[in-house]
Amino acid sequence: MQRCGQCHRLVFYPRELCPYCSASDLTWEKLSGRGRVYSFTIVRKPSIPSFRSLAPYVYAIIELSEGVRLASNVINCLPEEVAIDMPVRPVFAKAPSSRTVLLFEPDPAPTKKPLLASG
Amino acid sequence: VSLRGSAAIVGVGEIPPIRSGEGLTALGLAAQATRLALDDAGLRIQEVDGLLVSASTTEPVFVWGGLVAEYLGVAPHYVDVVDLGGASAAGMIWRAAAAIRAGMCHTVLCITADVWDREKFYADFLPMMSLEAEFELPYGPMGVNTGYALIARRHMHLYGTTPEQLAKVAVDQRTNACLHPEAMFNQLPISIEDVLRSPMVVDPLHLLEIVRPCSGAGVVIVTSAARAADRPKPPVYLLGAGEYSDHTSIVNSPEITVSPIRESARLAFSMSGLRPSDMDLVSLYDCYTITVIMSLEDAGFCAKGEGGPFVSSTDLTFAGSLPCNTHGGQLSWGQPGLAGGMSHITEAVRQLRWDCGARQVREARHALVNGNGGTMSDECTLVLGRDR
Repeated sequence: MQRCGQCHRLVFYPRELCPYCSASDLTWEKLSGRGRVYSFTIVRKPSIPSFRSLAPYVYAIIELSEGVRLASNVINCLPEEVAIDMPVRPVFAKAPSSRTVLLFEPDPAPTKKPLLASG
Repeated sequence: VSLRGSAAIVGVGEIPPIRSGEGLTALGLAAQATRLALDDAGLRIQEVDGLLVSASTTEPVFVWGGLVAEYLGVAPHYVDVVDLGGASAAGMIWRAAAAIRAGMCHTVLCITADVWDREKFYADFLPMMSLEAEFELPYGPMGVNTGYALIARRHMHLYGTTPEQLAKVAVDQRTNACLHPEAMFNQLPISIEDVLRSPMVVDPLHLLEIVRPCSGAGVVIVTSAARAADRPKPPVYLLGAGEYSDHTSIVNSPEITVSPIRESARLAFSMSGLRPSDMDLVSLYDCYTITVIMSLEDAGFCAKGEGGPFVSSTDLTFAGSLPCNTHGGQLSWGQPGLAGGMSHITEAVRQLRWDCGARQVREARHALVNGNGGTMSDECTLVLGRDR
């Protein structure tokens, strides 16, 4: 993720200028990847055709432990098991678009057998 | 220099919600609604010298403002496209007043018109939001629905807001819609149980808490207070306006349960010199039930977090202590795409003219209107009044 060289805040999504102080010296650094569920919803009737076979799935805002938020899915658990503030850790997977995307799973991993990954 | 009382709405015209988009164009609907607004204001098109128009989800045309002006036969001193999503209509009113106050023009057509085409909306329109396409669409959001579901879920988590409290908004607005002959859903009242029994679409929002997209158009005419005085219908004055935005995608909102309405409403009330308790009715953009609860909190009708208990214990119907969305709101009246926000203005104008028949709020003098664009992203709040 980008960090501003002037005000030292993390910047997401990637930009040419820091949105907090307009500095242009943004550098990349590695984050823990861990975080918590900030809010979530369960999509039951996807509007994007390629997601229809995955429903129901969890669409969430994840707040990383470094404080930055991003959109993602929570996988490897039942949608009903997801709760706000639940700790999560990163997993990488292929999206229906065939791009590699950053998803999250419960941390620690659920004791149950992992379910089919969404996303 | 304040806009307070400097301009007034003197004409309204509306093509009520049409379920299908079949065979319709935004341009055609805009023209039909303009004809009605001109008749209502007793004006000829030659007396119009300004034009504002909202974007359309199905006709993203280059120089759209100029095209609409040419189509209608307007030779404008001021023309622009106001692109604030659902806040576009409210945003037009103060822009028109500001241009009039600055002497750039004297009479402005404010036009919203849109045609619902589900396929075009999801395939062509949503992906135009380029950053969301890159950072959110890969995770399968359900259009705009997921953003509001995320707000509702966190609001419930932080404040204990219940599904029953959310449902109450839809119930009271349906009661209002049943007295509006042009509302899409005006046949049967609904109960809280009906809302909670309707299919869960995006947790925690049920089908009856989500707007039904449709086609339609709404046009109002804004002119100077001086010119407004001799129009056939009572003028409705702009007393206050405020606009604010602090994010586009809900993912980038500083705190998703606090909307920019807190700032836009503060500015609007401050300009008007009035307070929430002075409002005889509120006309709040209601794409979802949670939007109304958040709007009431952030505009200062109750404390943050108390919106749930507030709507439960307050009669929001036209006959109640705080009439809210007396046309049924978009939840029951219908959401004609990017034209939906204008319905909150046309209804407030009719209420302040005392022209609403069976659903008239008695002796209504002041109305608060809120336009909400994106995912509680672009907010424009207006205070309208029967007196200057």
